[in-house]
Amino acid sequence: MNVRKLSRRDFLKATGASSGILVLGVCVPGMRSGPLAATPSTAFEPNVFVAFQPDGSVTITVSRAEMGQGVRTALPRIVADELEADLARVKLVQAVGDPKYGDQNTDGSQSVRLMYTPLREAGAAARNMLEQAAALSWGVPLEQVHARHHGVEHATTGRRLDYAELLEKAATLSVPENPELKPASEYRYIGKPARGVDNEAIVTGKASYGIDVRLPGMKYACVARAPVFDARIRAYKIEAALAVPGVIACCHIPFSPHLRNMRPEEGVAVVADSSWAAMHGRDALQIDWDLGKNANYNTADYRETLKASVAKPGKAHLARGDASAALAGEGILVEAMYETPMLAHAPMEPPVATAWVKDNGDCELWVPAQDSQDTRSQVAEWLEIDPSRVRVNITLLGGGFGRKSQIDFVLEAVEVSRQVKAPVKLQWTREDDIRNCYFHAEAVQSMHARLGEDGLPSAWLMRSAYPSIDWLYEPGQDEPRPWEVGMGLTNMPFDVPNLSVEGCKAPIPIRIGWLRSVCNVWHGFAINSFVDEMAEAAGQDPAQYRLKLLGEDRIFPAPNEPQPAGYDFNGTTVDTGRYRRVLELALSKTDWGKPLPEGHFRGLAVHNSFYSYTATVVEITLDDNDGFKVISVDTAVDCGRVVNPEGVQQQVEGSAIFGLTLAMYGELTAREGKVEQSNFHNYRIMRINEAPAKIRAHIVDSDHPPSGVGEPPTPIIAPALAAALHAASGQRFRKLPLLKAWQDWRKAQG
Amino acid sequence: MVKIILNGVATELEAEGEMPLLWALRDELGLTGTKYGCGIGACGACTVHLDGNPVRACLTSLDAVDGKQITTIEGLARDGLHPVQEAWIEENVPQCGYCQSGQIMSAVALLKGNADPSDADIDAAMSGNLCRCGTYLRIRKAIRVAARAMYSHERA
Repeated sequence: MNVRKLSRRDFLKATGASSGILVLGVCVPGMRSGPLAATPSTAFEPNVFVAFQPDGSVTITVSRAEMGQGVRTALPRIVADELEADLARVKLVQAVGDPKYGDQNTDGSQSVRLMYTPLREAGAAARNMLEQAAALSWGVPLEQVHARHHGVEHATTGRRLDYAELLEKAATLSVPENPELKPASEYRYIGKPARGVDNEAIVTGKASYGIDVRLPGMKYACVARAPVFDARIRAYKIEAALAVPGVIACCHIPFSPHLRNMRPEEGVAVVADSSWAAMHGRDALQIDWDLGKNANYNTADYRETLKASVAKPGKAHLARGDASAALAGEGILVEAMYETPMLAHAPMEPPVATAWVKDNGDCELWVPAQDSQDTRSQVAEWLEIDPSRVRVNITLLGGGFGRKSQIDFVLEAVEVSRQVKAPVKLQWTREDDIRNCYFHAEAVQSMHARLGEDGLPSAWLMRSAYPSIDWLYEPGQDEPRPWEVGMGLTNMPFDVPNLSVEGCKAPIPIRIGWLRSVCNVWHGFAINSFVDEMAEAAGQDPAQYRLKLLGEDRIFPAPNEPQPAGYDFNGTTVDTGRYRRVLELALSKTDWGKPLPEGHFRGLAVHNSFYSYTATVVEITLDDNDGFKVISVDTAVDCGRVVNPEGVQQQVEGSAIFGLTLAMYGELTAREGKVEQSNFHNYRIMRINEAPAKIRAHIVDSDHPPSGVGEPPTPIIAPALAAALHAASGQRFRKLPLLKAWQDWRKAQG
Repeated sequence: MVKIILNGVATELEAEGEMPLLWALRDELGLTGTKYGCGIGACGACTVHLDGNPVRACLTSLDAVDGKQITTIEGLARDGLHPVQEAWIEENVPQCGYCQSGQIMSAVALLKGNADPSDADIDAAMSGNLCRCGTYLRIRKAIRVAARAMYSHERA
C-alpha cells in the first residue's frame, strides 16, 4: 500500500491568507479552458480546508480525487456540518497536489474513513473561532453563544451575527488545538442522504474530465508503446507518421529503468493538431521491437506455473496449531483449487493527461489522477526538478477503479510536452487502455480442510499464488506480501484450531496493479466458495454453517490488513460480531431458507475488507440458451457511521454491477506476452439488458468509525453467484469467469 | 469545408471529411460533452443525434453529416434542462458521470417515439451505452420518471 505519514497538526495548522488554494475548473463556469485563476483574497482561513470570502460565503477544499465514489459530495458535508455552514453559501474547490493537505491518495476505500475526523476538526475549529468572535463582540461568555446555520446566536438576548460579520475578528484569533466537536445527535448533514454535487454539470455536458482539458496552443498526442511488458525499441521510422495531415512531430518516450515502475513503457509519441490526427499518425509509425523475455508469457502456461506453486508449501503468513498434522488426521477431507483471471479496470474515460512544461522549466498538469501528491513527486523526479515547481490540478475522473493510481500516462504527457515545448494532451485509446493496463493479476488458490465430527474444520490450509503489487516499489518481489494476504486471508474471521495461510511464489510477466478491492477479489471468492464446499460436505446449510464457524463473537487485531501509517484509526480490528450481524441482516432481508419460485436459485457470500463488513445474496434464473440471468442482488453493509447514505447505496449498486462483470465475463489472456483482448467487443462489460432487476442495499445503522464502502461490496458478488450456480446444478464452479464456465459445463452435459 | 446545423446553429468546419464527428466536436468545435470511450461504436459514450436519430459520433465521419442537423448534449435544452436531464438529477443517476451524456442522448431518442417505455424497450434502446460505474438501475428509473414528466398531459 502506498502510505505516507500525516500528523493531525498538519490539518489544523493555520496557513495564513492567500495560501495558494486555487479554483479548478471542474464545474465552475468560465473555467473550462486556460490557466486556472486564484480565488479572490480570503477574509478568514483557519486551515487548508476552510476559507471564507468577505461576503461570508465559504470555500471548502476537497483534497481527494472524484471518480464516481462521491467524495466531492461527502467530504464537504463533513466540514459544513461541524462548521454549521449553510450549503447554499458553500463553494467547492478541488485541491492541487500538496503535502499541506495530508495524504491525498484516493484509493483503498479510505477517503471518508481517514478524513472524517480531520475534516470535522477543520470545520469545528472555524466554528469555534467564529463563536469566540461573536462572544467577544457582544462581551458575553463563550458558553452563551452557539453557531447555527451560518451565524452565531446569543440565546438569552436573541441576537444573531452572520458569519460575514464575524470574519474580521475571527481572523485575529488563534486556531484551537483541540476544537470542540459536535455530538453526533446534532449532525445536520452527516448521515442525511445527498445527491451528487456535480450532477447538473454532468447531465448538461459541462463537467470537465481529464479528456476535456483545453489550453491555448495545446497539442494532441498519442503513443505507440511497448506491446510486451518492458519490450525495447531497436529502431523506428517516423516519416509515414509525419506525412499524416495534422501531425507535427514525433517524440521518443525513453525507457527509464532507474525510476520505479509507475514509469511509462518505452514508446514513440505522435504529436498533432487534433486527437484524430495523432491517432492516425501513431498507426503509421514503424517500430522494430525487441520484445524481451516477457514475450514468453502465455496465460495457459502461467496458470500452470501458479498451480505448481500452490502445490508446494509457501511462506506462512498466519499459522495456528499444526495444520499439516491435523490435515493428515481423521475426518472428511475437503480440497479445492480456485482460479481467477487477469482483468483490466477499463474506466469509461481511458487514461489521458494534459501537461505543460513551461519555458522556465516549471510544470503544470491537468490530470484525472487518483493521487495528486504522488503525481507531483513522480513528475518532479522525471523532470529532475523540485516538487514545488510542479503543479497538479485534478480534474474529474471518468472512472478510476485503481487504474489512475498508476500515472505512467501522466509522465508520458510530461515527456512529450518537455520535448515539444507546448502544452500537450496525451490521449490513450481504449486499445491502449486494455493492452497496457496495470492489470489485476491472475491468481490460483488451493484450499484443504479436514472436518471434525461437528462438521467444522479442525484443520485448514490455504495457499495463494499471485504476483505481488510490491514489484512497483521493490523489484524482484516474487510472492504475496503480508498486506496482500491481509486482504481477505489472514484477517478472515473464522475460528479454526489448526490453520496455515501461505503465500506462494509467482513471477511478474506483465505490469500489475490495484483494481477495485484488489486481493479481496480472489480471496473473497476462494474463502466463500470453500466454506460452501465444507458446509456441503458437512451436510449443513451454508448460512448456518458460517454462523457456527464464526464461533463466539470476538474482536481481534486485523493481522496485516493494510492501514496508512500515522493515522489514529481505531478500527484496525476484525469484529466477528459485526461480520455475523451483517450476514444475519442479509439472511433476514431475503427470507433465506424459505422456498424460492420454480427455477430460481441463490447463493450467499460474506466478506470483511477495508474495515467494513458485507454480505450478499444473489438470485438467478436459468435461461433457455445455456445461460443464466441474475434477478437480484441484496447486499448488507456495515461500513461504520455513514456520511451519505445515498452514496453508500450507489456504491453498493455499482459494486454489484462491477462484481457481476468480473464474475460473469471478466477475462484477459496473454499470448507471447501480448494481451489478446483490446476493446469492449472482446473485453465484456455488463450492459443494462444484462443487469439485475433489483439491487438492494441494507445498511447497518452503526456508530463505529466510518470505514470503506467503494470497494467492500465488490468481492462478495462472484462467490455468491458461483454458489447460486451450484444451487442450480449441483456443480461447483471454481474458475472465473462464470458465464463461460457455466456454458462449458452445460454443453458437456449435452 | 463541412456545413452542419449544430445545436440549431449553422456551423462551418474546416477539417478533413474523414475525421470522425466525435473528434471534430471535441477538438475543433470545443464541445466536450460528447465523450470518447471506445472508438468502435461499442460503448455509446459519444452518442449524438443526427437529424433526430441517435448515432455514435466516433463512427460517423464529417462527410456523412454534411448538410445535416446534429444535436449534442450541450444543445439538448435551449432553456433550463430537458426533462430527461431533470430526471437524471432527481434519481441521482451519475457516479463518475462520464458516460451519462451518451446515456441521456440515447434516452431522449427513446422517449421521442415512446411515451411509456417497458423494461424491454429501455433495455433495447439503452444496451449500446456502457456504464462502468453500474448506474443501470437508476437509468431505468430515471427514464420512467422522464417519460411521465414529458407525457403527463397526454395521459391526463
